[in-house]
Amino acid sequence: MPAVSRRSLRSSRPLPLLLGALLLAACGGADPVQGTLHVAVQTDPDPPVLGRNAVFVDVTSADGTPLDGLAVEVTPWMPAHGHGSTEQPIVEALGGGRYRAFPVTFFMVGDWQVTARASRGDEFGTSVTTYSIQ
Amino acid sequence: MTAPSRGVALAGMLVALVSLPSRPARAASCCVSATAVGMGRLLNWERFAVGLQSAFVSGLGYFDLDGRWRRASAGYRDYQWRSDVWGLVDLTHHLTLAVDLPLILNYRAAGDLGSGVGGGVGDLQAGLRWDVLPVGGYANRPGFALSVAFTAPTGRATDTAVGHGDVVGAGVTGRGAWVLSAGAVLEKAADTWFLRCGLTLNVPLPMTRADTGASQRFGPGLAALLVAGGRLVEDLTLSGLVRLDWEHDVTLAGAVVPDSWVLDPGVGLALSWRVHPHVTLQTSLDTNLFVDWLGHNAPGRVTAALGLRYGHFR
Repeated sequence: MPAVSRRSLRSSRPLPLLLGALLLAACGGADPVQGTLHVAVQTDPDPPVLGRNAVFVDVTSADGTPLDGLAVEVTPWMPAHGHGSTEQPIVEALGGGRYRAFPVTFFMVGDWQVTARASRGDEFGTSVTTYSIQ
Repeated sequence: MTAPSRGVALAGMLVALVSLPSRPARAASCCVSATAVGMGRLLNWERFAVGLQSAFVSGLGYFDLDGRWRRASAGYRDYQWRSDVWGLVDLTHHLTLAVDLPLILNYRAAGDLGSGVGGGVGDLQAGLRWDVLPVGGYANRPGFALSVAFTAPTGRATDTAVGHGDVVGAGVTGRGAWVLSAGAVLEKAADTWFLRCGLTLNVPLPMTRADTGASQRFGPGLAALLVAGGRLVEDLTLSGLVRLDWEHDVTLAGAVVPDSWVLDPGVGLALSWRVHPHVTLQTSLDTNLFVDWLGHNAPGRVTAALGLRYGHFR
């Protein structure tokens, strides 16, 4: 199996994140980028591979309640070339705050960023995860 | 026209080409570098030049967002055949028009997605070069030239491939954005050697993605090139080059995409052989350096090219 690394973009820049967290704490507001909803992402297979993958998105409110009936988008993106994928994933609701996006297609080797965004009215949550596809 | 008659016509054109009236090749300092690498520039006495360069590009892996080199897995193949048809025309004294039209053929195999072949016209480039100080025109002074150019999105971008069945993206031949460029070249040439330094600023214009409708803008970039070469024997020139391409982060829907900047350095060798005063054969090999930290967010490739150049003068 090809080696795949995964990391959160938020963890790759500690100083700006620390400053941002301090600023948010001082303002007492929600993270303007990540939103108020909590979005967690899991892939199948895990780790993802070159080709088609499924992405499971679990969405909860700030108090941890699973949320159904949301609009969920999953967007693969290849920053090295500035383009997305050749296939558009279709998202289906599985219930219990879980959503499945398929196919999430990595058609080239390289680092891919997968953005999962869930929204309902003015509320939203975003997760960006980087996968290294070999 | 039948196939045999096309062959006769082609042979006739070749005979006519090599029989054109010519002057002896000059062993002057202005000549060593003009045809050494790629399109290069016009020789001081040429009215125009046309060329065809065909390159085979093999993708071996990539540099990730942390700068680590990662070799592609066995299930991945990424090959490209790129042929550039180009021309240089002397417009007025020291002002040259340059045009480059790439024709691209891709093959990609990507795991369970299978494989695909596709291609077509790439992104057209055109520009003007102004030789402020022509190479060899002034004793003990290097040549200096300024250039402006644009790249037109005549190729097929990835976002237009969605929903067309090209799941491995083999039909992608361009980036989908207009690019404006400005550059400067400093060139010192002696009788048997030359040194050329070039720096180009590329500014992509915003584009609208066909798949999502979102606004996207590739980051501005710099391309630096250092070429040094020398004449091995009469009319045979060997050059070595070092290049460094850098591109700032991409902006997508008004927001900068973190870590999307690109660093793509490479080295190469080029050999040019003026087989006739009008005709030069060129070959080159360009490669990334497949070592951690010598790249960022960029594909790792080896490119082998073969070119033919015809320069016209009376």
